[in-house]
Amino acid sequence: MRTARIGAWAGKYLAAFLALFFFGLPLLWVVLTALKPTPLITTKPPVWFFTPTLDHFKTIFLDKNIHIPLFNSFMISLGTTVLSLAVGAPAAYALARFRMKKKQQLAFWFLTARMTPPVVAAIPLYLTFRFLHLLDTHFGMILVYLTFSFPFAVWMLRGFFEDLPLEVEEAALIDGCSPFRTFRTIALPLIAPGLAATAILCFIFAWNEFLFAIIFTGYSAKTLPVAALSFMTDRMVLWGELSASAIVIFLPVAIFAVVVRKYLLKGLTMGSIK
Amino acid sequence: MRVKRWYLYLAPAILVMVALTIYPFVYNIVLSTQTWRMRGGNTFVGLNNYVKLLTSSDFHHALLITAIYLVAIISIEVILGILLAFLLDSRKFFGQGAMKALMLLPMVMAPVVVGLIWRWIFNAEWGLANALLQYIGQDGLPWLTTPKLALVSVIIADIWQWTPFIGLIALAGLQSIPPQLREASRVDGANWFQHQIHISLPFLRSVLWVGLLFRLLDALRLVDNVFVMTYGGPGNATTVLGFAAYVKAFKMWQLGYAAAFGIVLLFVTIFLARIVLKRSKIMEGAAS
Repeated sequence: MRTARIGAWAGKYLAAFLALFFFGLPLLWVVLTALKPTPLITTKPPVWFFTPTLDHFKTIFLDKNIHIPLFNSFMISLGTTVLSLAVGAPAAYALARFRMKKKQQLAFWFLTARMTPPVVAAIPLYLTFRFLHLLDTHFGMILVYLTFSFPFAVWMLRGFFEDLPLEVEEAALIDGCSPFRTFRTIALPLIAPGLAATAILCFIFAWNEFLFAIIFTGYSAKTLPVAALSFMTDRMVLWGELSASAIVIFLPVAIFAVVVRKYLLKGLTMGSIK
Repeated sequence: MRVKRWYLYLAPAILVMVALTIYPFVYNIVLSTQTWRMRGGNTFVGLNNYVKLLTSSDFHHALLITAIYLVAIISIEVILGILLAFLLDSRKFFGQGAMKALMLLPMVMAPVVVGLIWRWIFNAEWGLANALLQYIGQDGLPWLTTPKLALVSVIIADIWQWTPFIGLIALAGLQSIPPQLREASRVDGANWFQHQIHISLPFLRSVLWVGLLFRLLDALRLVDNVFVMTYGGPGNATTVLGFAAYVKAFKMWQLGYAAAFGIVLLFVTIFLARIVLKRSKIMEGAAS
């Protein structure tokens, strides 16, 4: 009995160690590379202890002007998030609460957008935007990102509205409050945490997006993931700069992820895991 | 509730959805029956693009690569994910909280960043993977430059990013097991394995279907990782369906052909997703 217990204990710590090793080491490795002086990056075997330097961060901000794509990424993600929520919230409320025909089918329309391969949206929008001169603009990128962000926001918010107890809103309606006022002053504040979580997830998805960005932007609306790749050319790869920009892309998202950890799985599974 | 002017709430949303889903879909269908030309003057070719696509060896190869990728990631991620969930659900141990926090990170990381990290790890000369192999006295491997290993590398990157997702989903399933049931199996003298197989696994079924569905959808859309790590190569060894469609459209500018590719990919996705939805009975009604 005693040996069995020690065996179980050892097995558990071994499993924990292996998990930490596999999932943690890549993160440690990229952080170390970003902080290493350039000559130490390409050594064999790798150097694990060294005096850290912020040179690569200085290079990407001062020489490579990464603050411009950083600003583009921020504006595009913010615009996508605001538009998704502003147009999506009333629709989500209607889908959750109002009586109408074909409501279920309408709701599933928003869900099916999750299944569409990006290339299906990319080709027609590219040709249309070329005609409308929306390529490589912030507004154009926001419209493209609405293809995934908007249905996501509607579907998520509908779930949050449905989870509210109906009584409060009914009482307001009976007291003569108009449906729109009930929505705006009662239902919307009640789902504030869900609204915030949805906003953060919309922001993360837009911030991380790469395929549309590399197709639709070239110079003036270039986003962070596209800019990071410019440190990788046919002739050489600047691993220090690449690692530093990887951290610039990932750090805000990592903080957000911890903030919305309660809603993360819900968001990544379109509400099917509570 | 009954609201007279309900359409005011929905009209802007429906407008957005028509512009961003119906319009591109119809445009794609029309384009898929044409040969597109950069300077205009498309010619109508009927179903030729579809015939060309479905009989091309490139398409068959991409289909095969995607199938291998799918089977590999889903089976490995589900097994490792379940083990991870058991670990996170077990009696408290030192570092358990930190580990749960760590597990949140890969799944929100931009696929481009995941690709960059793993491309650097699999670097033949100075990468971490070969350094670890050398520490234990093995020769380094040409990870990204040989066809089979390149596919393995891309699969490992996917496993790194998404196993924690499956793990946390499975953990949510485990935590839905009523405490009485855990107690009962302990009182009845079930050992750890018996408990997990007879009590835990049945509770994991529906949540794992959800995980499987989303891994399936993402793998069929996959472009970013492959773009960064291998650019579909060496040769076409890692050219999955999503990447092949991207190359046809925005590198070769065969937009008519690529439109047909997109439509076929969409129907493959819907077909597979419906099978999962029907079998699993998750998201009731979504399959119709």
